Amino acid sequence: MTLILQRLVSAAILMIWGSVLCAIYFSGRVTSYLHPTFQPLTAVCGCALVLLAVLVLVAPGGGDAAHATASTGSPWKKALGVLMLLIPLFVALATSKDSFGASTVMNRNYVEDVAQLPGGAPASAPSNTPDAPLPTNDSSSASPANTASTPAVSDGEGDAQTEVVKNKKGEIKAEVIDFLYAAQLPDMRSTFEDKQIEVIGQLMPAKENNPNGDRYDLVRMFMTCCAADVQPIALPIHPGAKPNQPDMTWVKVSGKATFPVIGGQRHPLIENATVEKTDPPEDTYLY
Amino acid sequence: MGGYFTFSFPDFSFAFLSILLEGLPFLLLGTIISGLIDQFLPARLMTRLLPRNPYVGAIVSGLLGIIFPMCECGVVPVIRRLMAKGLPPSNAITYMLAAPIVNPIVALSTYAAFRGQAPLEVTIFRLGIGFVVAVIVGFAVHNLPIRHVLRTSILADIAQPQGLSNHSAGGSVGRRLWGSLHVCVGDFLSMTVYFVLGAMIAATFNTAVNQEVILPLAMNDWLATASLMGLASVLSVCSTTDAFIAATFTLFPTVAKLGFLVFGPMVDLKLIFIYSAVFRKRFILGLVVGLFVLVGLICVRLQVILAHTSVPL
Repeated sequence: MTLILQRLVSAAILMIWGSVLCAIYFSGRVTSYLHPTFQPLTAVCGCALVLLAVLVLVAPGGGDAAHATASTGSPWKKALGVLMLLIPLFVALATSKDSFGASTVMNRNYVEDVAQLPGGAPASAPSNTPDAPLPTNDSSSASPANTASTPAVSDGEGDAQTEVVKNKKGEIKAEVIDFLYAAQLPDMRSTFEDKQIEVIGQLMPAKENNPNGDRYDLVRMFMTCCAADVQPIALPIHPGAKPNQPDMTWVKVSGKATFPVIGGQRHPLIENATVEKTDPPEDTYLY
Repeated sequence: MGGYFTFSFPDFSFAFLSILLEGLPFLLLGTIISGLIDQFLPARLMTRLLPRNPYVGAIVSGLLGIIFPMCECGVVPVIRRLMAKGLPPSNAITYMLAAPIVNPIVALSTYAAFRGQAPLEVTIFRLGIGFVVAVIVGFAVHNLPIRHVLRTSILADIAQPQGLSNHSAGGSVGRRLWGSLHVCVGDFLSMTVYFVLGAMIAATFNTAVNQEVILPLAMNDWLATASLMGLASVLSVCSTTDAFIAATFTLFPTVAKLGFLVFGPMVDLKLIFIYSAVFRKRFILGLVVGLFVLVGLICVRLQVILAHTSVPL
Protein backbone atom coordinates (compact mmCIF):
# COMPACT_ATOMS: atom_id res chain seq x y z
CA MET A 1 0.00 0.00 0.00
CA THR A 2 1.59 3.28 -1.04
CA LEU A 3 1.76 6.17 1.38
CA ILE A 4 -0.75 8.17 -0.66
CA LEU A 5 -3.19 5.29 -0.75
CA GLN A 6 -2.68 4.70 2.95
CA ARG A 7 -3.35 8.35 3.67
CA LEU A 8 -6.54 8.22 1.61
CA VAL A 9 -7.70 5.08 3.39
CA SER A 10 -6.96 6.60 6.80
CA ALA A 11 -8.85 9.78 5.92
CA ALA A 12 -11.78 7.76 4.58
CA ILE A 13 -12.03 5.67 7.74
CA LEU A 14 -11.84 8.75 9.95
CA MET A 15 -14.43 10.50 7.82
CA ILE A 16 -16.78 7.50 8.01
CA TRP A 17 -16.45 7.13 11.78
CA GLY A 18 -16.78 10.86 12.31
CA SER A 19 -19.83 11.08 10.07
CA VAL A 20 -21.45 8.10 11.81
CA LEU A 21 -20.90 9.65 15.23
CA CYS A 22 -22.24 13.02 14.06
CA ALA A 23 -25.24 11.35 12.42
CA ILE A 24 -26.01 9.39 15.59
CA TYR A 25 -25.80 12.55 17.66
CA PHE A 26 -27.65 14.98 15.41
CA SER A 27 -30.38 12.46 14.49
CA GLY A 28 -31.12 12.03 18.18
CA ARG A 29 -30.30 8.30 18.14
CA VAL A 30 -27.64 9.02 20.72
CA THR A 31 -30.31 9.36 23.41
CA SER A 32 -30.93 5.62 23.12
CA TYR A 33 -27.28 4.80 23.64
CA LEU A 34 -25.76 7.17 26.17
CA HIS A 35 -26.49 8.96 29.41
CA PRO A 36 -27.09 12.67 28.75
CA THR A 37 -23.71 13.45 30.35
CA PHE A 38 -21.87 11.52 27.65
CA GLN A 39 -24.00 12.51 24.67
CA PRO A 40 -22.16 15.75 23.78
CA LEU A 41 -18.89 13.82 23.68
CA THR A 42 -20.25 11.88 20.70
CA ALA A 43 -20.69 15.09 18.72
CA VAL A 44 -17.32 16.42 19.81
CA CYS A 45 -15.58 13.16 18.90
CA GLY A 46 -17.43 12.92 15.58
CA CYS A 47 -16.51 16.47 14.58
CA ALA A 48 -12.92 15.92 15.70
CA LEU A 49 -12.66 12.78 13.55
CA VAL A 50 -14.05 14.60 10.50
CA LEU A 51 -11.55 17.40 11.11
CA LEU A 52 -8.72 14.89 11.47
CA ALA A 53 -9.77 13.28 8.18
CA VAL A 54 -9.54 16.61 6.39
CA LEU A 55 -6.23 17.45 8.04
CA VAL A 56 -4.78 14.08 7.10
CA LEU A 57 -5.55 14.84 3.47
CA VAL A 58 -4.04 18.33 3.48
CA ALA A 59 -1.16 17.71 5.88
CA PRO A 60 2.37 17.97 4.58
CA GLY A 61 4.54 14.89 4.93
CA GLY A 62 2.87 11.70 5.96
CA GLY A 63 5.70 9.32 6.21
CA ASP A 64 5.44 9.31 9.96
CA ALA A 65 1.73 8.65 9.86
CA ALA A 66 2.30 5.76 7.59
CA HIS A 67 4.99 4.52 9.90
CA ALA A 68 2.83 4.82 12.98
CA THR A 69 -0.24 3.35 11.35
CA ALA A 70 1.21 0.26 9.87
CA SER A 71 4.93 0.04 10.16
CA THR A 72 4.64 -3.69 10.42
CA GLY A 73 2.32 -6.29 9.04
CA SER A 74 1.54 -7.69 5.66
CA PRO A 75 -0.89 -6.06 3.21
CA TRP A 76 -3.59 -8.59 4.03
CA LYS A 77 -3.27 -7.74 7.71
CA LYS A 78 -3.70 -4.08 6.88
CA ALA A 79 -6.73 -4.91 4.75
CA LEU A 80 -8.13 -6.99 7.60
CA GLY A 81 -7.66 -4.05 9.94
CA VAL A 82 -9.59 -1.79 7.57
CA LEU A 83 -12.40 -4.33 7.37
CA MET A 84 -12.46 -4.64 11.16
CA LEU A 85 -12.86 -0.89 11.40
CA LEU A 86 -15.77 -0.74 8.99
CA ILE A 87 -17.80 -3.96 8.77
CA PRO A 88 -18.78 -4.37 12.46
CA LEU A 89 -19.75 -0.69 12.56
CA PHE A 90 -21.99 -0.91 9.50
CA VAL A 91 -23.55 -4.21 10.54
CA ALA A 92 -24.28 -2.89 14.04
CA LEU A 93 -25.78 0.32 12.64
CA ALA A 94 -28.01 -1.67 10.32
CA THR A 95 -29.19 -4.24 12.85
CA SER A 96 -29.45 -2.31 16.11
CA LYS A 97 -33.02 -1.51 17.08
CA ASP A 98 -31.87 1.21 19.50
CA SER A 99 -33.36 -0.70 22.42
CA PHE A 100 -33.00 -4.07 24.09
CA GLY A 101 -35.34 -6.96 23.42
CA ALA A 102 -36.93 -9.22 26.00
CA SER A 103 -34.14 -11.82 26.11
CA THR A 104 -31.47 -9.34 27.18
CA VAL A 105 -33.77 -7.73 29.74
CA MET A 106 -34.49 -11.16 31.20
CA ASN A 107 -30.74 -11.76 31.41
CA ARG A 108 -30.33 -8.70 33.64
CA ASN A 109 -31.00 -8.66 37.35
CA TYR A 110 -34.23 -6.82 38.00
CA VAL A 111 -34.03 -3.96 40.48
CA GLU A 112 -36.96 -4.38 42.86
CA ASP A 113 -35.43 -2.57 45.82
CA VAL A 114 -34.44 1.07 45.40
CA ALA A 115 -31.32 0.51 47.51
CA GLN A 116 -29.93 -1.45 44.55
CA LEU A 117 -29.80 1.71 42.45
CA PRO A 118 -26.73 3.95 42.35
CA GLY A 119 -27.18 6.33 45.26
CA GLY A 120 -30.62 4.89 45.66
CA ALA A 121 -30.71 4.21 49.40
CA PRO A 122 -33.56 6.40 50.57
CA ALA A 123 -33.28 8.99 53.27
CA SER A 124 -34.32 7.72 56.67
CA ALA A 125 -37.90 8.16 57.60
CA PRO A 126 -38.73 10.67 60.30
CA SER A 127 -38.52 9.15 63.76
CA ASN A 128 -42.16 9.79 64.54
CA THR A 129 -43.46 7.84 61.60
CA PRO A 130 -45.37 4.68 62.46
CA ASP A 131 -43.14 2.38 60.41
CA ALA A 132 -39.53 1.80 61.27
CA PRO A 133 -37.21 2.36 58.31
CA LEU A 134 -36.72 -0.79 56.31
CA PRO A 135 -33.20 -2.19 55.98
CA THR A 136 -30.85 -0.38 53.64
CA ASN A 137 -27.09 -0.36 53.37
CA ASP A 138 -26.89 2.93 55.15
CA SER A 139 -29.99 4.98 55.30
CA SER A 140 -28.36 8.05 56.75
CA SER A 141 -26.90 9.94 53.88
CA ALA A 142 -28.50 9.31 50.55
CA SER A 143 -31.57 10.84 49.10
CA PRO A 144 -33.79 9.80 46.23
CA ALA A 145 -33.45 13.31 44.93
CA ASN A 146 -29.89 12.41 43.99
CA THR A 147 -31.16 10.50 41.01
CA ALA A 148 -32.41 12.38 38.01
CA SER A 149 -35.73 10.61 38.26
CA THR A 150 -37.00 12.27 41.36
CA PRO A 151 -40.17 10.81 42.77
CA ALA A 152 -43.28 12.70 41.79
CA VAL A 153 -44.20 13.18 45.41
CA SER A 154 -42.32 14.59 48.33
CA ASP A 155 -41.38 12.38 51.24
CA GLY A 156 -41.48 15.24 53.72
CA GLU A 157 -44.22 15.66 56.27
CA GLY A 158 -47.02 18.03 55.46
CA ASP A 159 -46.30 18.48 51.78
CA ALA A 160 -46.82 14.97 50.55
CA GLN A 161 -49.82 15.98 48.47
CA THR A 162 -48.37 19.11 46.92
CA GLU A 163 -46.64 17.48 43.94
CA VAL A 164 -49.19 14.77 43.16
CA VAL A 165 -50.32 14.80 39.54
CA LYS A 166 -53.59 13.13 38.63
CA ASN A 167 -55.11 12.09 35.31
CA LYS A 168 -58.66 12.80 34.16
CA LYS A 169 -59.95 9.76 36.04
CA GLY A 170 -58.44 11.05 39.26
CA GLU A 171 -55.68 8.42 39.28
CA ILE A 172 -52.29 9.48 40.60
CA LYS A 173 -49.74 9.55 37.77
CA ALA A 174 -46.35 8.27 38.82
CA GLU A 175 -43.18 6.60 37.57
CA VAL A 176 -42.19 2.98 38.23
CA ILE A 177 -39.31 4.13 40.38
CA ASP A 178 -41.61 6.15 42.65
CA PHE A 179 -43.20 2.96 43.98
CA LEU A 180 -39.80 1.50 44.85
CA TYR A 181 -39.06 4.59 46.90
CA ALA A 182 -42.53 4.54 48.42
CA ALA A 183 -41.98 0.97 49.60
CA GLN A 184 -39.26 2.25 51.91
CA LEU A 185 -40.52 5.72 52.80
CA PRO A 186 -43.70 5.61 54.95
CA ASP A 187 -44.72 9.22 54.25
CA MET A 188 -44.40 8.72 50.54
CA ARG A 189 -46.10 5.33 50.76
CA SER A 190 -49.16 6.90 52.35
CA THR A 191 -49.58 9.02 49.23
CA PHE A 192 -50.00 5.93 47.07
CA GLU A 193 -51.20 3.13 49.32
CA ASP A 194 -54.67 1.78 48.44
CA LYS A 195 -55.16 4.58 45.92
CA GLN A 196 -55.75 4.32 42.18
CA ILE A 197 -52.62 5.07 40.21
CA GLU A 198 -51.48 5.27 36.59
CA VAL A 199 -47.98 4.27 35.54
CA ILE A 200 -46.23 3.65 32.21
CA GLY A 201 -43.62 1.00 31.48
CA GLN A 202 -42.75 -2.06 29.44
CA LEU A 203 -44.58 -5.32 30.08
CA MET A 204 -42.57 -8.38 31.07
CA PRO A 205 -43.37 -11.69 32.77
CA ALA A 206 -42.70 -11.59 36.53
CA LYS A 207 -39.44 -13.23 37.54
CA GLU A 208 -40.12 -13.57 41.28
CA ASN A 209 -42.97 -13.71 43.80
CA ASN A 210 -45.29 -15.14 41.21
CA PRO A 211 -46.71 -18.33 42.76
CA ASN A 212 -49.81 -18.48 40.55
CA GLY A 213 -48.15 -17.24 37.39
CA ASP A 214 -50.64 -14.37 37.11
CA ARG A 215 -48.30 -11.49 37.88
CA TYR A 216 -46.27 -9.37 35.51
CA ASP A 217 -43.57 -6.79 35.85
CA LEU A 218 -43.80 -3.26 34.57
CA VAL A 219 -40.22 -2.46 33.64
CA ARG A 220 -38.31 0.78 33.09
CA MET A 221 -34.64 0.89 32.20
CA PHE A 222 -32.27 2.75 34.53
CA MET A 223 -29.13 3.97 32.75
CA THR A 224 -25.90 4.79 34.56
CA CYS A 225 -23.55 5.53 31.63
CA CYS A 226 -24.58 3.78 28.44
CA ALA A 227 -27.09 1.25 27.18
CA ALA A 228 -24.73 -1.61 27.95
CA ASP A 229 -25.15 -0.99 31.68
CA VAL A 230 -28.91 -0.42 31.88
CA GLN A 231 -30.75 -2.15 34.71
CA PRO A 232 -34.43 -3.00 34.52
CA ILE A 233 -36.44 -1.48 37.38
CA ALA A 234 -39.43 -3.72 37.93
CA LEU A 235 -42.82 -2.90 39.43
CA PRO A 236 -44.92 -6.06 39.97
CA ILE A 237 -48.50 -5.81 38.72
CA HIS A 238 -51.43 -8.16 39.20
CA PRO A 239 -53.83 -7.70 36.29
CA GLY A 240 -57.44 -8.76 36.46
CA ALA A 241 -57.07 -10.39 33.04
CA LYS A 242 -54.04 -11.69 31.21
CA PRO A 243 -52.63 -8.93 28.99
CA ASN A 244 -52.48 -9.71 25.28
CA GLN A 245 -49.44 -7.56 24.55
CA PRO A 246 -46.11 -9.22 23.77
CA ASP A 247 -43.09 -8.78 26.06
CA MET A 248 -41.50 -5.31 26.17
CA THR A 249 -44.62 -3.59 24.82
CA TRP A 250 -45.06 -0.09 26.20
CA VAL A 251 -48.23 -0.14 28.30
CA LYS A 252 -50.19 2.13 30.59
CA VAL A 253 -51.24 0.41 33.79
CA SER A 254 -54.05 1.59 36.06
CA GLY A 255 -54.74 -0.08 39.37
CA LYS A 256 -54.58 0.04 43.15
CA ALA A 257 -51.16 0.55 44.71
CA THR A 258 -50.42 -1.84 47.55
CA PHE A 259 -47.26 -2.53 49.53
CA PRO A 260 -47.41 -6.07 50.94
CA VAL A 261 -44.63 -7.40 53.16
CA ILE A 262 -42.82 -10.25 51.41
CA GLY A 263 -39.86 -11.91 53.08
CA GLY A 264 -39.76 -9.24 55.79
CA GLN A 265 -39.58 -6.37 53.30
CA ARG A 266 -42.23 -4.16 51.81
CA HIS A 267 -42.61 -4.48 48.07
CA PRO A 268 -44.88 -2.50 45.77
CA LEU A 269 -47.63 -4.36 43.91
CA ILE A 270 -50.32 -2.90 41.65
CA GLU A 271 -53.52 -4.87 42.20
CA ASN A 272 -56.52 -5.15 39.86
CA ALA A 273 -54.39 -3.63 37.15
CA THR A 274 -55.81 -2.82 33.74
CA VAL A 275 -53.22 -2.87 31.01
CA GLU A 276 -53.49 -0.99 27.73
CA LYS A 277 -50.95 -0.38 25.00
CA THR A 278 -49.50 3.13 24.84
CA ASP A 279 -46.79 5.15 23.12
CA PRO A 280 -43.32 5.19 24.65
CA PRO A 281 -42.54 8.25 26.77
CA GLU A 282 -40.35 10.97 25.33
CA ASP A 283 -37.36 9.70 27.31
CA THR A 284 -37.49 5.94 27.58
CA TYR A 285 -34.79 5.73 30.25
CA LEU A 286 -34.67 6.66 33.89
CA TYR A 287 -31.40 8.14 35.13
CA MET B 1 -36.08 -17.38 28.34
CA GLY B 2 -34.52 -18.58 31.50
CA GLY B 3 -31.44 -20.10 29.87
CA TYR B 4 -27.89 -19.22 30.75
CA PHE B 5 -27.10 -17.99 27.22
CA THR B 6 -29.63 -16.39 24.89
CA PHE B 7 -28.12 -14.45 22.00
CA SER B 8 -30.00 -11.71 20.17
CA PHE B 9 -28.17 -10.03 17.30
CA PRO B 10 -30.05 -6.69 17.47
CA ASP B 11 -29.36 -6.51 21.21
CA PHE B 12 -25.71 -7.36 20.62
CA SER B 13 -25.49 -4.55 18.05
CA PHE B 14 -27.17 -2.13 20.42
CA ALA B 15 -24.77 -2.90 23.29
CA PHE B 16 -21.78 -2.93 20.91
CA LEU B 17 -22.58 0.54 19.58
CA SER B 18 -23.19 1.93 23.05
CA ILE B 19 -19.79 0.67 24.25
CA LEU B 20 -18.14 2.20 21.17
CA LEU B 21 -19.90 5.52 21.59
CA GLU B 22 -18.96 5.74 25.23
CA GLY B 23 -15.32 4.72 24.84
CA LEU B 24 -14.32 6.29 21.53
CA PRO B 25 -14.02 9.92 22.75
CA PHE B 26 -11.65 8.79 25.49
CA LEU B 27 -9.63 6.68 23.08
CA LEU B 28 -9.33 9.67 20.76
CA LEU B 29 -8.25 11.88 23.65
CA GLY B 30 -5.58 9.34 24.57
CA THR B 31 -4.23 9.20 21.03
CA ILE B 32 -4.19 13.02 20.75
CA ILE B 33 -2.12 13.15 23.93
CA SER B 34 0.00 10.35 22.53
CA GLY B 35 0.71 12.40 19.39
CA LEU B 36 1.61 15.48 21.41
CA ILE B 37 3.92 13.44 23.66
CA ASP B 38 5.63 12.03 20.60
CA GLN B 39 6.37 15.40 19.09
CA PHE B 40 6.82 17.70 22.06
CA LEU B 41 8.27 15.56 24.85
CA PRO B 42 12.02 15.48 24.43
CA ALA B 43 13.46 12.01 24.16
CA ARG B 44 14.67 10.52 27.44
CA LEU B 45 13.11 13.38 29.44
CA MET B 46 11.00 10.91 31.36
CA THR B 47 14.03 8.92 32.42
CA ARG B 48 15.70 12.09 33.62
CA LEU B 49 12.66 13.24 35.56
CA LEU B 50 11.84 9.97 37.26
CA PRO B 51 14.01 8.62 40.09
CA ARG B 52 16.85 6.47 38.82
CA ASN B 53 16.09 3.70 41.28
CA PRO B 54 13.67 1.52 39.29
CA TYR B 55 11.62 0.63 42.35
CA VAL B 56 11.22 4.24 43.46
CA GLY B 57 10.52 5.07 39.81
CA ALA B 58 7.70 2.54 39.75
CA ILE B 59 6.23 4.00 42.93
CA VAL B 60 6.31 7.52 41.49
CA SER B 61 4.83 6.24 38.20
CA GLY B 62 1.94 4.78 40.17
CA LEU B 63 1.09 8.28 41.36
CA LEU B 64 1.41 10.05 38.01
CA GLY B 65 -2.30 9.55 37.37
CA ILE B 66 -3.01 12.20 39.98
CA ILE B 67 -1.34 14.76 37.70
CA PHE B 68 -2.01 13.07 34.33
CA PRO B 69 -5.33 11.25 34.73
CA MET B 70 -6.17 8.84 31.92
CA CYS B 71 -8.89 6.25 31.48
CA GLU B 72 -7.94 2.70 30.56
CA CYS B 73 -8.88 3.12 26.88
CA GLY B 74 -6.65 6.12 26.38
CA VAL B 75 -3.68 5.16 28.50
CA VAL B 76 -2.30 2.38 26.28
CA PRO B 77 -1.35 4.60 23.31
CA VAL B 78 0.14 7.06 25.80
CA ILE B 79 2.42 4.50 27.46
CA ARG B 80 3.40 3.11 24.08
CA ARG B 81 4.61 6.57 23.19
CA LEU B 82 6.22 7.15 26.59
CA MET B 83 8.19 3.91 26.28
CA ALA B 84 9.40 5.06 22.88
CA LYS B 85 10.53 8.21 24.67
CA GLY B 86 12.63 6.23 27.08
CA LEU B 87 10.27 5.47 29.95
CA PRO B 88 11.21 2.02 31.29
CA PRO B 89 8.49 -0.59 30.64
CA SER B 90 8.18 -1.28 34.38
CA ASN B 91 7.33 2.37 35.02
CA ALA B 92 5.09 2.56 31.95
CA ILE B 93 3.11 -0.51 33.00
CA THR B 94 2.78 0.80 36.55
CA TYR B 95 1.38 4.04 35.17
CA MET B 96 -0.85 2.14 32.74
CA LEU B 97 -2.41 0.07 35.52
CA ALA B 98 -2.60 2.81 38.15
CA ALA B 99 -3.64 5.88 36.17
CA PRO B 100 -7.21 4.70 35.40
CA ILE B 101 -7.75 4.20 39.16
CA VAL B 102 -5.43 6.53 41.03
CA ASN B 103 -6.75 9.80 39.70
CA PRO B 104 -9.01 12.54 41.03
CA ILE B 105 -11.89 11.90 38.62
CA VAL B 106 -12.20 8.27 39.66
CA ALA B 107 -11.90 9.23 43.32
CA LEU B 108 -14.80 11.64 42.97
CA SER B 109 -17.00 9.27 40.98
CA THR B 110 -16.35 6.41 43.41
CA TYR B 111 -17.18 8.61 46.37
CA ALA B 112 -20.38 9.78 44.68
CA ALA B 113 -21.45 6.31 43.60
CA PHE B 114 -21.01 4.77 47.04
CA ARG B 115 -22.78 7.46 49.00
CA GLY B 116 -24.62 5.66 51.73
CA GLN B 117 -22.20 2.72 51.49
CA ALA B 118 -19.08 3.92 53.35
CA PRO B 119 -17.95 6.09 50.40
CA LEU B 120 -14.75 7.42 51.95
CA GLU B 121 -13.50 4.00 52.93
CA VAL B 122 -14.37 2.45 49.57
CA THR B 123 -12.66 5.31 47.70
CA ILE B 124 -9.51 5.13 49.81
CA PHE B 125 -9.28 1.35 49.53
CA ARG B 126 -9.95 1.44 45.79
CA LEU B 127 -7.17 3.92 45.10
CA GLY B 128 -4.87 2.31 47.65
CA ILE B 129 -5.25 -1.23 46.35
CA GLY B 130 -5.01 -0.02 42.76
CA PHE B 131 -1.77 1.76 43.53
CA VAL B 132 -0.25 -1.15 45.46
CA VAL B 133 -1.16 -3.71 42.80
CA ALA B 134 0.19 -1.52 39.98
CA VAL B 135 3.47 -0.98 41.81
CA ILE B 136 3.85 -4.69 42.57
CA VAL B 137 3.32 -5.48 38.88
CA GLY B 138 5.84 -2.76 38.01
CA PHE B 139 8.41 -4.38 40.30
CA ALA B 140 7.74 -7.75 38.70
CA VAL B 141 8.05 -6.36 35.18
CA HIS B 142 11.36 -4.72 36.10
CA ASN B 143 12.76 -8.19 36.72
CA LEU B 144 11.55 -9.55 33.39
CA PRO B 145 13.56 -9.41 30.16
CA ILE B 146 12.00 -6.68 28.04
CA ARG B 147 11.74 -9.03 25.05
CA HIS B 148 9.32 -11.13 27.08
CA VAL B 149 7.11 -8.11 27.68
CA LEU B 150 6.87 -6.07 24.50
CA ARG B 151 5.96 -6.99 20.97
CA THR B 152 8.83 -7.15 18.55
CA SER B 153 7.58 -4.10 16.62
CA ILE B 154 7.43 -2.03 19.81
CA LEU B 155 10.91 -3.20 20.79
CA ALA B 156 12.19 -2.05 17.41
CA ASP B 157 10.55 1.35 17.91
CA ILE B 158 12.13 1.73 21.34
CA ALA B 159 15.50 0.81 19.92
CA GLN B 160 15.30 3.90 17.71
CA PRO B 161 16.87 6.79 19.58
CA GLN B 162 14.01 9.19 18.71
CA GLY B 163 11.15 6.85 19.37
CA LEU B 164 8.40 5.81 17.01
CA SER B 165 8.55 8.67 14.59
CA ASN B 166 11.59 9.86 12.81
CA HIS B 167 11.61 13.56 13.55
CA SER B 168 9.91 13.71 16.91
CA ALA B 169 10.57 16.58 19.28
CA GLY B 170 12.43 18.50 16.63
CA GLY B 171 11.70 21.26 14.10
CA SER B 172 9.24 24.12 14.28
CA VAL B 173 6.06 24.02 16.34
CA GLY B 174 3.97 23.83 13.18
CA ARG B 175 5.95 20.92 11.86
CA ARG B 176 5.61 19.15 15.20
CA LEU B 177 1.86 19.72 15.24
CA TRP B 178 1.56 18.10 11.82
CA GLY B 179 3.69 15.28 13.13
CA SER B 180 1.39 14.95 16.13
CA LEU B 181 -1.55 14.66 13.77
CA HIS B 182 0.02 11.79 11.88
CA VAL B 183 0.96 9.96 15.04
CA CYS B 184 -2.46 10.53 16.58
CA VAL B 185 -4.25 9.19 13.51
CA GLY B 186 -1.98 6.18 13.28
CA ASP B 187 -2.44 5.32 16.94
CA PHE B 188 -6.17 5.93 16.82
CA LEU B 189 -6.73 3.61 13.89
CA SER B 190 -4.56 0.82 15.22
CA MET B 191 -6.05 1.03 18.73
CA THR B 192 -9.61 1.23 17.44
CA VAL B 193 -9.23 -2.13 15.70
CA TYR B 194 -8.56 -3.73 19.08
CA PHE B 195 -11.25 -1.66 20.75
CA VAL B 196 -13.82 -2.89 18.22
CA LEU B 197 -12.82 -6.50 18.85
CA GLY B 198 -13.05 -6.06 22.60
CA ALA B 199 -16.37 -4.26 22.38
CA MET B 200 -17.80 -7.11 20.30
CA ILE B 201 -16.87 -9.69 22.91
CA ALA B 202 -18.00 -7.47 25.78
CA ALA B 203 -21.34 -6.88 24.05
CA THR B 204 -21.84 -10.60 23.54
CA PHE B 205 -21.38 -11.38 27.22
CA ASN B 206 -23.22 -8.23 28.23
CA THR B 207 -26.40 -9.21 26.42
CA ALA B 208 -26.37 -12.99 26.10
CA VAL B 209 -25.23 -14.26 29.50
CA ASN B 210 -27.84 -14.47 32.24
CA GLN B 211 -26.48 -12.40 35.12
CA GLU B 212 -28.47 -14.41 37.63
CA VAL B 213 -25.91 -17.16 37.13
CA ILE B 214 -23.47 -15.23 39.29
CA LEU B 215 -25.89 -14.28 42.08
CA PRO B 216 -25.52 -17.49 44.12
CA LEU B 217 -21.80 -16.75 44.28
CA ALA B 218 -22.47 -13.68 46.43
CA MET B 219 -22.70 -15.75 49.58
CA ASN B 220 -19.01 -16.65 49.68
CA ASP B 221 -16.27 -14.00 49.91
CA TRP B 222 -13.89 -15.85 47.60
CA LEU B 223 -16.49 -16.67 44.99
CA ALA B 224 -18.14 -13.26 45.29
CA THR B 225 -14.84 -11.45 44.71
CA ALA B 226 -13.82 -13.70 41.85
CA SER B 227 -17.20 -13.47 40.17
CA LEU B 228 -17.40 -9.68 40.38
CA MET B 229 -13.87 -9.41 39.04
CA GLY B 230 -14.92 -11.62 36.15
CA LEU B 231 -18.03 -9.53 35.65
CA ALA B 232 -15.96 -6.33 35.58
CA SER B 233 -13.92 -7.81 32.76
CA VAL B 234 -17.03 -8.73 30.85
CA LEU B 235 -18.86 -5.44 31.29
CA SER B 236 -15.80 -3.38 30.28
CA VAL B 237 -17.16 -0.18 31.78
CA CYS B 238 -14.91 2.89 31.90
CA SER B 239 -13.16 3.41 35.24
CA THR B 240 -14.63 6.87 35.60
CA THR B 241 -18.12 5.40 35.82
CA ASP B 242 -17.80 1.78 36.86
CA ALA B 243 -18.35 2.62 40.53
CA PHE B 244 -21.97 3.38 39.72
CA ILE B 245 -22.35 -0.19 38.49
CA ALA B 246 -20.43 -1.74 41.38
CA ALA B 247 -22.51 0.11 43.94
CA THR B 248 -25.61 -1.67 42.70
CA PHE B 249 -24.41 -5.15 43.67
CA THR B 250 -25.95 -4.85 47.08
CA LEU B 251 -25.98 -8.60 47.69
CA PHE B 252 -22.20 -8.76 47.39
CA PRO B 253 -19.72 -7.94 50.16
CA THR B 254 -17.86 -4.64 49.78
CA VAL B 255 -14.53 -6.39 49.27
CA ALA B 256 -16.00 -8.10 46.21
CA LYS B 257 -17.02 -4.69 44.89
CA LEU B 258 -13.48 -3.49 45.52
CA GLY B 259 -12.27 -6.40 43.41
CA PHE B 260 -14.62 -5.21 40.67
CA LEU B 261 -13.38 -1.63 40.98
CA VAL B 262 -9.67 -2.47 40.96
CA PHE B 263 -9.55 -5.39 38.53
CA GLY B 264 -11.97 -3.97 35.93
CA PRO B 265 -9.89 -0.93 34.92
CA MET B 266 -6.78 -3.13 34.70
CA VAL B 267 -8.20 -6.09 32.80
CA ASP B 268 -11.34 -6.15 30.73
CA LEU B 269 -12.20 -7.81 27.46
CA LYS B 270 -11.65 -4.77 25.27
CA LEU B 271 -8.45 -3.91 27.14
CA ILE B 272 -6.98 -7.34 26.52
CA PHE B 273 -7.24 -6.64 22.82
CA ILE B 274 -5.89 -3.12 23.20
CA TYR B 275 -2.94 -4.51 25.21
CA SER B 276 -2.26 -6.82 22.28
CA ALA B 277 -1.13 -3.80 20.28
CA VAL B 278 1.83 -3.34 22.64
CA PHE B 279 2.54 -6.47 24.66
CA ARG B 280 3.36 -10.07 23.86
CA LYS B 281 0.48 -12.52 24.17
CA ARG B 282 2.22 -14.59 26.82
CA PHE B 283 2.89 -11.50 28.90
CA ILE B 284 -0.76 -10.45 28.64
CA LEU B 285 -1.84 -13.91 29.79
CA GLY B 286 0.54 -13.73 32.76
CA LEU B 287 -0.60 -10.19 33.54
CA VAL B 288 -4.27 -11.17 33.52
CA VAL B 289 -3.75 -14.24 35.70
CA GLY B 290 -1.36 -12.43 38.04
CA LEU B 291 -3.68 -9.46 38.49
CA PHE B 292 -6.65 -11.73 39.07
CA VAL B 293 -4.84 -13.62 41.81
CA LEU B 294 -3.23 -10.54 43.36
CA VAL B 295 -6.34 -8.35 43.44
CA GLY B 296 -8.47 -11.27 44.62
CA LEU B 297 -6.10 -12.18 47.43
CA ILE B 298 -5.76 -8.59 48.63
CA CYS B 299 -9.50 -8.00 48.63
CA VAL B 300 -10.39 -11.21 50.45
CA ARG B 301 -7.61 -10.76 53.00
CA LEU B 302 -8.82 -7.20 53.51
CA GLN B 303 -12.16 -8.59 54.60
CA VAL B 304 -10.45 -10.75 57.22
CA ILE B 305 -8.28 -7.88 58.45
CA LEU B 306 -11.11 -5.36 58.61
CA ALA B 307 -13.31 -7.79 60.51
CA HIS B 308 -11.12 -6.99 63.55
CA THR B 309 -11.36 -3.23 63.11
CA SER B 310 -14.07 -0.60 63.22
CA VAL B 311 -13.73 0.29 59.53
CA PRO B 312 -17.29 0.11 58.16
CA LEU B 313 -16.81 -2.14 55.12
